[in-house]
Amino acid sequence: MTAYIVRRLLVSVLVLFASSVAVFSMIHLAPGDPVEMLTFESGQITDLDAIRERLGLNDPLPVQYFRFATRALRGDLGHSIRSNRPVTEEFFSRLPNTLKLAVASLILAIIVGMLAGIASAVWANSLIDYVVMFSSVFGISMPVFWLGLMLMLLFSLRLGWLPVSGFSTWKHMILPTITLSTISMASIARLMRSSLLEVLQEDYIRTAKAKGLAYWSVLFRHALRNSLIPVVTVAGLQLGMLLGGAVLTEMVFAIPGVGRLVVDAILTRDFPLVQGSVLFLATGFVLVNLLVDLSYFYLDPRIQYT
Amino acid sequence: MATEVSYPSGTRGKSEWSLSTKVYTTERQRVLRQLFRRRTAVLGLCIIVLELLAIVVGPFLMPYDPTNPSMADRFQPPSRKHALGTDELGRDVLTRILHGGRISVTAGIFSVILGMLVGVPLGLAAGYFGGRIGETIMRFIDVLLSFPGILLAILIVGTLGPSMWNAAIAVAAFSVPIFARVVRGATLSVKGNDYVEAARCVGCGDVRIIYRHILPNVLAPIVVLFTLNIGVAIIYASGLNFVGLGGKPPMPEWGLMLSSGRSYLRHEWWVATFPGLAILITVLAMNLLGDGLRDALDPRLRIQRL
Repeated sequence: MTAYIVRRLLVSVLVLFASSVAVFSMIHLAPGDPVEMLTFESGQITDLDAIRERLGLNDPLPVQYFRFATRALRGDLGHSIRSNRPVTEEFFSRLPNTLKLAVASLILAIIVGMLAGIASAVWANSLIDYVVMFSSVFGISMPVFWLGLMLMLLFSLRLGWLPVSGFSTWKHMILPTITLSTISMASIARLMRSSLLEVLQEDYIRTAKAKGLAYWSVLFRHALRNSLIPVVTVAGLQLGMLLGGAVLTEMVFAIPGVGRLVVDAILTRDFPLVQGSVLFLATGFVLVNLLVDLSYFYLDPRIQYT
Repeated sequence: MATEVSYPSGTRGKSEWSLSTKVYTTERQRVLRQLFRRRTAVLGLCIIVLELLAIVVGPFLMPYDPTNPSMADRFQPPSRKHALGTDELGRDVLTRILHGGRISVTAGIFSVILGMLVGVPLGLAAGYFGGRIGETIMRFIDVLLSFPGILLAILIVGTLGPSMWNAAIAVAAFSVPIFARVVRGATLSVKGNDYVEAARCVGCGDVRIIYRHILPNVLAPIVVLFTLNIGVAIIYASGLNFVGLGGKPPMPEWGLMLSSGRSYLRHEWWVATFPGLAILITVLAMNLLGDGLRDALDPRLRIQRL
């Protein structure tokens, strides 16, 4: 078990290293010069080369990467070229908004998705099942940004129940959360249904029924636990998807979150900000995947770690 | 008459005895019959055929131009003259959706073909050779998966510069790991079959074995993934266009139409509503067909959608 965790941590570090190299080279090989963009926008004519020299952009790429990596290991990801604030500060001032949105969406998706999936499997081929399956096919086919606009049109513009955009009170969170959770909710419901249906056919379920246990007890004590494994895997992956999908939702509802930060940073070629933010996001994603893998151990003791 | 032998499903070109009807059928006929038995899959197929017909023939039948402004007709609500209304430059929304369908559907198909061309060989090689090659490939896939998909796509568009085709290429990048993983799994299970061993005994080379013996037997998951991923690709490609990381405004791409229409949501709701509806219907049809194909080709096939 310990050996497994240690190995997984090592692999995670490798993955993070590889992705930092990849992001670094991609953003630097891209056409477009941040310094030119900056001076072009401010309208000042200054010595471009002096600025590049100061930012270290004239050095060879491996030297630049080495500098970035050694500083990053000490927790210093540099300053944003545009705002001149530390990258860490920029990122973490935006992170709470995105996290609030992603976590709220994940919780909503898990609760509704699992309940719908369980109901659908328990009453398979009933009206409930058809309704759930029909709506979840719609859910996984939904363009998130369009759903956001439609919800906004109905609840904010027409009915006037909820604010249009911004992110200050809980009322602002309702529509973005529903928008972002739809796809995850639908895929969790579909997976929960098929996984539970499969487990319900196993021999030990028949045994449990045969020895006279109540149906609900069989369902919740025996079947549900074992059908949770694929659902947990996907729920874990969904958190990563949600962080990504938050980009589109943040755009629609004008929420100052990490997604908009990264898109703006890429469009303005703010190298340090892109590298830093992507590194943080990738770290989060890798950690979540690790936690998901470890949680199998508690869900299914049969799984052996080697 | 041959003896009663049942071949494992997925064996191409082989035939089997159907005990119930005593009809001599090929595998292809069996799959098609299974597929057409599913009403939802047939519905999906019908929508796709109708839609393809509409976007191929439709633009020739419409009397309006998709890009030329006609300011006298600004913001006409849906009427007999303009079935879906007109936008902020007086262009007919239906005409633009039909033209845009050519762009969005082509982009979706193009990006999945690209992802397949990279992902399938990687998966075949990783599964067939195993060992160090397989490990290296799968670590590379892990790195790709360690980014939330849309973030990876945004990075790629940031590197290549925003354009419609670059958005499609970026979307291809996150179908690569999905293809690679599934094909690797399928290859691993096919590799152990006797006919692979037999082929090796008669002196077939690795390339021939992979191409003639493995590939035909892992086609089923590839076909299913292909169908399901076109829908996903259309959503993400139009999402990139929506946030500004794609084509430029006069182009009637669905995501672009949505993003320019969102400013007029309050009063001219039709400008943003119908392009999104077009995306939803297209993706829904693809998903219905994909689910049906999966069930028909191999019920045991468990392809996880991400």
